Amino acid sequence: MLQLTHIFSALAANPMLAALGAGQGGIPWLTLTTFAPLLGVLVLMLMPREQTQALRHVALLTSLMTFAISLGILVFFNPALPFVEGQAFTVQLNDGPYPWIESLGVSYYMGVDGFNMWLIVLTTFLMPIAILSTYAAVKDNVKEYMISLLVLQVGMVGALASLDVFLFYIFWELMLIPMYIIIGVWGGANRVQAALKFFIYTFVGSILMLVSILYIYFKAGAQAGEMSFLLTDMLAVQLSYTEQFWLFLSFFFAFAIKVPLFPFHTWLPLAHTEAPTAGSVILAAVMLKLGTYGLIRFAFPLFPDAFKFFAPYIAVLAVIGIIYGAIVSLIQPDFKKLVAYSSVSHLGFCVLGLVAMTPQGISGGMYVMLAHGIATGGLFLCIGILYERRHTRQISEYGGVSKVMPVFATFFMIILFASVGLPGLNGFVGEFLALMGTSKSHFLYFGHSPLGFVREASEAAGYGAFKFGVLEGMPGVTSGQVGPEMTAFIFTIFATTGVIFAAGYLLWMWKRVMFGPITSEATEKMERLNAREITYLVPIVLMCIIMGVFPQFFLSRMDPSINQFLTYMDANVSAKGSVVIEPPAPGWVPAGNMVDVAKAKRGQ
Amino acid sequence: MLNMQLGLMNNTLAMLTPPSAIELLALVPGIIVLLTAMAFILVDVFHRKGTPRDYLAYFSAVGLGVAALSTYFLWDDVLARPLFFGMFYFDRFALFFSALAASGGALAILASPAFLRSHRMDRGEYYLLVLFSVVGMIFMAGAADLLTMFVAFEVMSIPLYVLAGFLRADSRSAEAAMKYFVLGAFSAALMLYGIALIYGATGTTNLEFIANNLAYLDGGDGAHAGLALSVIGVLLILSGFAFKVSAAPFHVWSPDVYTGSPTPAVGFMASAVKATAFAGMMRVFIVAFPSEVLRGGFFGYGWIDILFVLAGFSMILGNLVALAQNNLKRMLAYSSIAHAGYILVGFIAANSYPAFFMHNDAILFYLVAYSFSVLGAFGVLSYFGRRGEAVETYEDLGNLGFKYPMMGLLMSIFMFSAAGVPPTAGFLAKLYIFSSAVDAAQQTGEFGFIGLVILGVLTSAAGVYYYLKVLVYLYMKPALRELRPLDHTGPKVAVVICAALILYLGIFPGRMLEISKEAMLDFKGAPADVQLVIDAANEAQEAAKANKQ
Repeated sequence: MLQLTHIFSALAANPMLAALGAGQGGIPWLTLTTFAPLLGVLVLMLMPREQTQALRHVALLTSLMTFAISLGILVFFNPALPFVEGQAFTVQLNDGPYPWIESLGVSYYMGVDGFNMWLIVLTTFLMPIAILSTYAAVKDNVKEYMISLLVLQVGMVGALASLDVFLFYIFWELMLIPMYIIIGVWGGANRVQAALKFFIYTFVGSILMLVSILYIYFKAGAQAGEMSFLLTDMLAVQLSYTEQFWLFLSFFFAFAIKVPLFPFHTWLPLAHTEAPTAGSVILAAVMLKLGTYGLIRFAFPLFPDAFKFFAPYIAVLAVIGIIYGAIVSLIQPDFKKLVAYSSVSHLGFCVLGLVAMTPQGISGGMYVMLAHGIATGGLFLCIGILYERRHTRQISEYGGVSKVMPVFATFFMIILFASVGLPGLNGFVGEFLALMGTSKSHFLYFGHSPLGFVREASEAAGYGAFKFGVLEGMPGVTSGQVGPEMTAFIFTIFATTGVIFAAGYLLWMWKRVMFGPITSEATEKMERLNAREITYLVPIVLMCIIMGVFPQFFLSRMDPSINQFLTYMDANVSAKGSVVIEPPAPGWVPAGNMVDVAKAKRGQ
Repeated sequence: MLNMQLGLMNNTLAMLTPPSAIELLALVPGIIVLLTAMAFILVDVFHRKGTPRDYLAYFSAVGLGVAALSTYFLWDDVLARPLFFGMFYFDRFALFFSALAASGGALAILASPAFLRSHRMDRGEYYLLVLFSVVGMIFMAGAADLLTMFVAFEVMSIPLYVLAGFLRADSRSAEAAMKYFVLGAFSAALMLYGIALIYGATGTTNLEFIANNLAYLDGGDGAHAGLALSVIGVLLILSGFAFKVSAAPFHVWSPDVYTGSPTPAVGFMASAVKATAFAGMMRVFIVAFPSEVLRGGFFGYGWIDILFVLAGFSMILGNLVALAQNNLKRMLAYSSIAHAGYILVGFIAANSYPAFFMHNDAILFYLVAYSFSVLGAFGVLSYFGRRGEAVETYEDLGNLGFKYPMMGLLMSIFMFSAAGVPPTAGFLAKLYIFSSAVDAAQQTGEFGFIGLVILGVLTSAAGVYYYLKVLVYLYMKPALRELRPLDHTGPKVAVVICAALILYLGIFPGRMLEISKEAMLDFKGAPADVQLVIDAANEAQEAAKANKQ
């Protein structure tokens, strides 16, 4: 790491690079990252469809180029920006707002903060890997396949980056079309049904959200005297509780279907099993995250009071999802389905962390998103590798694979442990933080919670200082003294069992696939990993380890945004003191963007 | 009241003034099309037998294109008063629909030649009928009198009946023509009867005078007996329009007619005819039958409430029945019923109360978006319309998307636009329509509007299923049999234009939204309370313009 920092600081002093970082209004990093794949689409369209290998290379190069551009966002992202007073988010590297459809008040506005920055980088990071993984798997209609993947990337990054609700919605729907085609054309036997179910589920959810967006748009327009779809303008709207209630529900449905939260998850296992490997990877790693991202970016801050009302119910769904997903995973004979249900379980942790409204909970939720993206993406890649060799997804068909493919077994093991949540790998950090945040929460109670944890005014800060007791009628209890509610504790206890189940179903699957006697001749003939496969597994494994060992690098860049978001929620929720705010410790957050930090280091 | 009287004076003046030369400008688009038709007849006489009539098709398409283009140059020459003794409006609203009708006709004609040749019906009359129909449409959009409106309505319709049965060797085409003609004539008769009743009740056929006289019938000491007469008249006229826009339950003709008629002509029927019928409906109902005057006449409800039912019924029936179709043209027929329902939602939202009048521009935008997507879809079907090998059912589409990547892509764009998926024009149009209803709901607090919107979005979500089914077959199912497309430049050009417009309007809709707004800002003949809203909007527009400079 030390070496790397030196190299980096040497690079940072380069005047060329310094010029790139001219800052806001300099290089439109987000626009470039979003639309760079379109360049590749254009080239692909002009290429003859017979030259499959060249088509693949072009797509790969495009996605690598996009990843390189997106590193600009990472490098020039400054986590230490001061709060914008009264706003839910501090965005930077913003492009716009430029007027787009003036008569409707639609603008083109993109920006990043701690919430979406990592998700954008995750998307661009996984895309080359996903493309590389399809070199052998997809043989027909390669041209259309690659075009679909690249358009999909445009939709995903655009939806993550846009801060205009209309623009967000356009990208959000745009993303559906290529995914629908990817599942439906290159998927498994039941692909048509899976694709339709995927599309219609998501469409129904989001179209109701659209009506709600329009409602807020007119309401905010009438209140402000100016029609605008900008998120900041929409956040300023004053809604009655009843309005918030229904609007929140429609937003929640749209995003909960995408996450997918427990009763809305039925499209996911089908879509995952039928999708080709790259489709599964992208679906699990990025598209599901758009649901959780949408919750925290739009649904929570727009309707704080309705959210307060629904939070414990959402938490119940999340906990059911965690346990239900895990139990259903245990009995799956098909390992793609197993991983799909494990996604339901993992995203339950994420949602639980997000609704806890504690800094640890939200950063845990965010970290689960990233870690799940890497680890589950990796699992799907591994399954893809097995599937390409044996053309079956039944766990019972395998056995003793580790003897035939030892290198693969190692990669698979690391990724699998990351998904289980072994300390030292990325899955652990997120789940631990999410559970810890939930246990601290006093946002998750139904109505009024009589029992809870209270701290004596004289006691110092810290976990053990809280004593269990009756909350009602306690004299002089301030928000700093009221600790976690009983309900939050119960949620945590149930959710934690999910971690145990995760170890159960994943390790059992691993045992059945990897160990034991080689049961069939076909297994014996399985080829070892080739260079291409190793190339795309190595970055995944590296990220699993890096994110597990150096979580500060990632967390410290989210925490200021989380802090601001919580401050905003605290100011806007009627139930005062239910949001826990803890500013990040001094020195935890880097003082500037990477170039600044590196320069400062060089100056020392 | 003073305003109303002033307006009336203006109108009376117009009816008494002999037409001046400048009023002829109003006829320019119509006359261009008419002259094209005349020239067509002359040229067609000298056509050598057995040679293709492609050049004639291109000639008429160019004529229609010129007519559409002429509206651009006439945009600023509009006149305030009704022309020709109060028979005709020359406003941007009329110009807008003239352009839409002419370009719809041109695109449909472009898609036709190879199709007709393959059906051994390469006759000049086909193009001529389209041209005459467009003339009727152009005059319909500007009609200021029920009689002008009715004559234009028939000039538009009668060629359509012939077009429906143009493939005379095909029994389905004959069936389509018969059904269309019998039902169409019946609805025209109903409409005429309604006009007669209105004339009996109010003593005039001029739209503005009708509104004025209805207000007198309604006001004063108790409702006048003539009001009841006019209520029935309004109902009959409404049913005539509902028939032409194929709103349920006046839709029964459309699936059979769409299936049997020559495919490119269906594109014309579904786009230009529907748009013009809506234009006529807007003009007649906004100008002549102000909703608050007749509210309560229909057993306590107004005609707007009847439209509520029609809209809801059309959206549900259109979308649900389309789900069950296997024939593509039938599916598109039912989907066009559903689209009529969406447009009616916009019509209801914009015209329930005068205050929302400016929301009518959503209808204009929707009609543009819808017209091009349906023209494109039928253009693609015409391309694969070779006699005996035509794509008719979903199964016939199998694997076409990969075999003909361009046509597959374009068809997908049309389907996504019809389904309302961004970034196509169809999405924006739907959004705009529903947003007008949401706005009305918010300002009036009436649940009916929001209920209609929710019904609309839910049914359109059901609609996504059958539009996506087209994609399923295009890309995900094997080909059943070999197809030879009609390799002809015409349909290719037509569908590429449609798709380009759909994407352009979906991504940069700004200019088109402005145009539809300008068209509504220049709407002539509106009753006094609506006119106040228009004037206020005009002032706001001027102020915004001044602000910008």
